Amino acid sequence: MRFVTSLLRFVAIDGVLVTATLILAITFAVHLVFALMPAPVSEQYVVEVAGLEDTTAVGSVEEQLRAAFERDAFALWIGHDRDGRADVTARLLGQAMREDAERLTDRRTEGVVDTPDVIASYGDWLGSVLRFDLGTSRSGLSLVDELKEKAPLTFKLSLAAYLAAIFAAASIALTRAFRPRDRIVQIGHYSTYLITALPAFVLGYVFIAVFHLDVSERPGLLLAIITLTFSSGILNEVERVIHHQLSEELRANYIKTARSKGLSSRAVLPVPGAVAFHAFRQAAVQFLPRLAQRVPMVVGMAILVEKVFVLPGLGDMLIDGLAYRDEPRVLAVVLIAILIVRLCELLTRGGKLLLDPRALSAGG
Amino acid sequence: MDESKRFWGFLAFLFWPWMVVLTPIAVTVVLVLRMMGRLESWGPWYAAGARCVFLILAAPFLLIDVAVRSRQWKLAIALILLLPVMIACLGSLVIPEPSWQPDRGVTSAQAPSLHHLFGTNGDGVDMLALIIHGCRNSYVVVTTALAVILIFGIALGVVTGRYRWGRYVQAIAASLDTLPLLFGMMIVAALASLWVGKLLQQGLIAAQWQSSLRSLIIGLGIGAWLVSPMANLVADKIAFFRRQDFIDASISSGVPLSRVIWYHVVYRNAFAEIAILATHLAGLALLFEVSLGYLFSIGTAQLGRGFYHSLAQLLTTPEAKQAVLFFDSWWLFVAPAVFIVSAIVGFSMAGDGLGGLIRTTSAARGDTPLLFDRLLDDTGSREATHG
Repeated sequence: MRFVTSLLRFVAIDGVLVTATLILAITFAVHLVFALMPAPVSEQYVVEVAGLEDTTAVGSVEEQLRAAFERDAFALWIGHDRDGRADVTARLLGQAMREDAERLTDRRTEGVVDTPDVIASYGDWLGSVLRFDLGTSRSGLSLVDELKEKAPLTFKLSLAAYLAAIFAAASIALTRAFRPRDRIVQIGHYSTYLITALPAFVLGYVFIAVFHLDVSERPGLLLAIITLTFSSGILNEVERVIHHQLSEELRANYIKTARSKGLSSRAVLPVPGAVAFHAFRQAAVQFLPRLAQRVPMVVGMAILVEKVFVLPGLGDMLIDGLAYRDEPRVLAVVLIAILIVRLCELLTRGGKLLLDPRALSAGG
Repeated sequence: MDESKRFWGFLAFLFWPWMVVLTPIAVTVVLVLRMMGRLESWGPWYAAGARCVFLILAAPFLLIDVAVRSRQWKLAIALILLLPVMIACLGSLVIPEPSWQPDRGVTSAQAPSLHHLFGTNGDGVDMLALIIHGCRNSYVVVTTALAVILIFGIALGVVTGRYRWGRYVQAIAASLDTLPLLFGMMIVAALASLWVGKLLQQGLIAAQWQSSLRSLIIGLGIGAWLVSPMANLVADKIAFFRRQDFIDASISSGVPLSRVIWYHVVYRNAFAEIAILATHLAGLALLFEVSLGYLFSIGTAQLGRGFYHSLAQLLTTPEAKQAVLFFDSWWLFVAPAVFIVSAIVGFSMAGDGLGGLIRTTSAARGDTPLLFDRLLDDTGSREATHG
């Protein structure tokens, strides 16, 4: 019963309360950033209304322009060409609107931002989020549908790479702890420095070249996961942290007792009946919280890998959202990124709690 | 250890990586130039490149070598300190404009030759000039990030370690980590790019400062995201040493608490670990910097257009991609990639080398083992501790 209560408390406080606070704080900051953005009304953005056959927008052009104008009064965007052939297809609807837009631009440039407006519009957004409606992007697509399509990819990529990196690091660390003089293990250890230093795009390009992958036709999810595993920047640190904790545990008295009782001290694999099992389990209690801190790095680097392997994930959405100043889209990406990070963190910390019931009894 | 030596040693450790990475390059280039002995006759582009390499890399390092041999520590460290500043500030002065102009008569990428040490790109622009320009921006970003990490990280750590309410401040700072750095930096940079453009349009900043301003913004952003590890280290240090007898003795003998924390804990007992962590974080900052550089140049529309120039962007050109995919014009990919990877490896290896060096000296003096050893492992720790 006490176990269940503690678990519920952990989920309620860490899982819900802290996550909700973080989401509120960060999304409000992003909303404020958009409120402070100066308007991009200038020659390169403003194209007179003419020749509308190019547009890919849904609905009539007039409707699109009006809807866009209502959402963001200083610039009108009616979709874009992803290949960058005509990346700016913004049009201003008539001279009257242009004047309105410039007036608003001047207000924003002078730093006059209506605080009630910022808070009220944030409140509106928050209200719609609570109704599971993230709004629509500038091109008129439902963001919930877009996220359903793109977020799972980033989540799969990040989680798989994160687990694979921990597995690889733990393998090297375990072998290094038990066979410190093994040449191959030493080479493995030092190669983590080099691999970690390789930016994701360098390694990604090398993989694409070596495996003759045509990313435009066949996205290489497996190669993307391998790339992110190696170049998310955590492999080296995780390996050193695990090795350090293992070494500490192997010097403890209970390990001496276990050895004297006949447990195998040569076996590297942490399976029951071996010293490695007990040492690794105790070490995990110490190193898991540190691994949880590294989750944001993996999720962040995932957008890089998505770009290299042309995978339609959150990175794609974020870059497009920023490029076209599509606030609902950026907020949706930020929201989901925070949720992914928190979920991975909570899973890691949950693993610690399962290994160490004392921490659970103490309230996490 | 003598106080001034300790202080200057601290500064030297912070700038150690540049020496580790750039010394071999500089020495090799200088030796090659000396052996050839006919600098100016190789044409204006090469001469410009060679002069720039000599000025930026070789001269300070030769002076540093002389200074170290004659045990002029302050001079050596001042020169090391000046090096990134020189690269940052004087880069455009010592790389004359012609280096940026296409080599007339060149219609395709040229392989490395005596005329162009790292070859040229498809427009005939010298790769060496492009790489040095990229390095300049990258190091401005890393130096700025490092300054933010040291100043705010140490201050935040002291506040957290000293005051009860400090942990709330730290929690707020740490909450920034929840949003992955690359996501956050893209948003920050999008805002910054519009503001910089606006300021430029209104004539509030001069055109030649915009590049530096953008690098500064990126550096500040990356630094802000990496502050919390440093703050955690300093806070842990203070928590650890507050339980020690000599700190109790200092406080009971009337030494003010702020002096105990800043002098006895942070300065006398934590600077080695701060230096090691700072070196590691500098490597991480460089990794993020090149990642951002890559994202900016491939981001669609206005986001990436001219906002930020980095070494990584040399790898995002269609030519560079073609180079790696078809093993054609390999120098377009290999030269920048080697510069990037060697710099990042240099930083992270230097941090560990530094840790080993400090452990050896502290073990020889019989000091307590570093707290960092308990936070971050290395094979040398046990030998040093028990030795």
